[in-house]
Amino acid sequence: MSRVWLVTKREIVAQARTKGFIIGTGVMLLIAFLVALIPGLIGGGAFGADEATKIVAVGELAGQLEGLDGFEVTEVADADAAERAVRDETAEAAVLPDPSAPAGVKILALEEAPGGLAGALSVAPAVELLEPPKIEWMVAYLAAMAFSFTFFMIVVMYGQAAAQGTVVEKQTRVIEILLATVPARVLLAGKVLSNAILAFATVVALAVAAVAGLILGGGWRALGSTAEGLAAATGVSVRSMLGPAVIWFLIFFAVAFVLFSTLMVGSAATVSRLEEVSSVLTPTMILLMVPYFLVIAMHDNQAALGWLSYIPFSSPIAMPLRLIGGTALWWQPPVALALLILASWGAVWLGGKLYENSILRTGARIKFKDAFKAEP
Amino acid sequence: MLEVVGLSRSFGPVRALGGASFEVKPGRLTGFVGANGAGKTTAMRIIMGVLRADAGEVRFKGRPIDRQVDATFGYMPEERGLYPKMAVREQLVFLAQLHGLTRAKAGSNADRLLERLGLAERGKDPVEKLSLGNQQRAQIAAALVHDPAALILDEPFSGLDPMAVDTVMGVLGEFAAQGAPILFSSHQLDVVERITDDLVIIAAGQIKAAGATAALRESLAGSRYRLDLPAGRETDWIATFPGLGDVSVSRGGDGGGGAASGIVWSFEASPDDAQRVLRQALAEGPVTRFERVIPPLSEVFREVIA
Repeated sequence: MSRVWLVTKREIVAQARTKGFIIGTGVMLLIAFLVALIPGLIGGGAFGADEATKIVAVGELAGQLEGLDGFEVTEVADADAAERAVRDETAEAAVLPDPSAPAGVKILALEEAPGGLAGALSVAPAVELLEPPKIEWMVAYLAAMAFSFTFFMIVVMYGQAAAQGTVVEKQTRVIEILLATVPARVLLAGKVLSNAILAFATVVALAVAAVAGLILGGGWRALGSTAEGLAAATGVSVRSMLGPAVIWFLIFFAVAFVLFSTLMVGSAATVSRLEEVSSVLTPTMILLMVPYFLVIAMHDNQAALGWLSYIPFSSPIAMPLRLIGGTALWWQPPVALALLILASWGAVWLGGKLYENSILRTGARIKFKDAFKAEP
Repeated sequence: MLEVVGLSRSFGPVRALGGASFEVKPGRLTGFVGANGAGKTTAMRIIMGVLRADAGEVRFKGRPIDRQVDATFGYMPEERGLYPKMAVREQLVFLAQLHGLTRAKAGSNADRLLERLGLAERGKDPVEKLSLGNQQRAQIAAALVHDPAALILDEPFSGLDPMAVDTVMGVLGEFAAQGAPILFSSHQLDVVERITDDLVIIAAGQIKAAGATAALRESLAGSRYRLDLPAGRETDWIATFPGLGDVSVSRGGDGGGGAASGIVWSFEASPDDAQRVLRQALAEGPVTRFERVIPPLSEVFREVIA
């Protein structure tokens, strides 16, 4: 174990020192921060409730409009005063009595009427849903995007880094000295573990950057009030579902990273030149990409999501989504996790075999079939 | 003692080793020579546990090698390689720690070797910034940094200038003096001849000869003698001396080896006839050199693998 840790430590230090890593990670964190920050700063449009819109009204209308959600009503003496207020922009709109209109009022505005004002003034019939959705589809969609994008991006980034590191060791021939010192499996374990640690740290850092952006931009409060609104409307608290979903996502992510990166490192061991890495990773990338697109496409199809939440390649994304949606029973995440661990064990066995049998063979790319049969 | 017993290994249809057996004695520099593709690298990789043997085994101190316990051999592979972007000293410390040394011990070993190999000032430089010769020295340091119980070096002298060859030979000599077996392969037979105690000659995956280098050369030496005399003497009688064959002479100039301006006679003879020639030559005047010609290693090598 201590030797695995030595290899792991060396890998982390070597990778963390490269310019590419520092710049790449910095840019990624900055983007996450800005994406979370900017919508909050730009008038809070994306996050709804912000400052109330100022309007003026004449006479007793002002009293009737008092308490209209999102609007601050000021009473003015007459229609002329109301028009002056709109023209000099002390108010965004004025509400005037108009006996000829069906609603009995008309809106006076400079260039366009503030959004929602007309709607707020009209009377809508009551709606009663017999089967209210447990969660708003937008939230489900956004969560699906966030989980699958994070998962996909981080696995590709660090899986590829591990694969390239493998080929570099082969290309520079340092591998032979290493193999004369420690068994191939120790090297493989160190490589996978180091990238898993970096990947995990990146996910956490991304989360911190995003939350910091939300807090600074004011989006956090808006999200909170949206969530409260949802909870009040549906009886399900999104925040209470989000916590467990994120924790399960991290657990699934850690195991799935081992699965994918071991396969990537094993595949990479069969080539000797960096130029060949991307082509040899194609089969693993397909295993990674197909579930990614399937989950995004099926995020609101409960039956399909149910199946995807058990399949080891898609369960890291699909199961947390079902948790948010509140459709997963308590025993389902552990079962899916067990299946994922089983699949990862298989991947470690397969990737380890590819790695052990190919890592010393330089020259042309070795076919997977041959790498599997050959003895080192 | 390191023993190799009946090692065989094939790669597909190609038989790289066919039951090779030899031994590397403690405290002795053993040269491992053979043509390209003779099986040297395969044998060394099997000794290091990097490759598996189809048959046979490697023993150290009488026991089959246990990789957990005996992964303490120092190795310099044929294809050199260190992490190019990692600093030399840091890399040596890493490798020594990987062999189980404490960080402190790894550090002091690395410093000592860097000093000894003339790399002390380059310790902080990444390997890729070193000249090829210095990279080679770093590679040797990597093989030695963990106080190995035995050394397996594949072509340790290739790419080194004569000064570096001397440095490395010195380091290996010190190491052998501590009682560890050292096996090294080389194509530079003049170097092998100078420094090896024992020799193993391999051809087509089989050991053709093994033993003390001097004894091997001695055993292949024929019945040719060389007699050097000062210039200006009348020595033509040697050409017609009874019992001699294939007589040749060179006068002045070329002679080589200490007889630059003298007369050098060379002939085939029985030991008794050779002594008779020497007695007569001494009776007539001084003799500067008389010896049975021991063939150079390159000749032994050609003879053995033929």
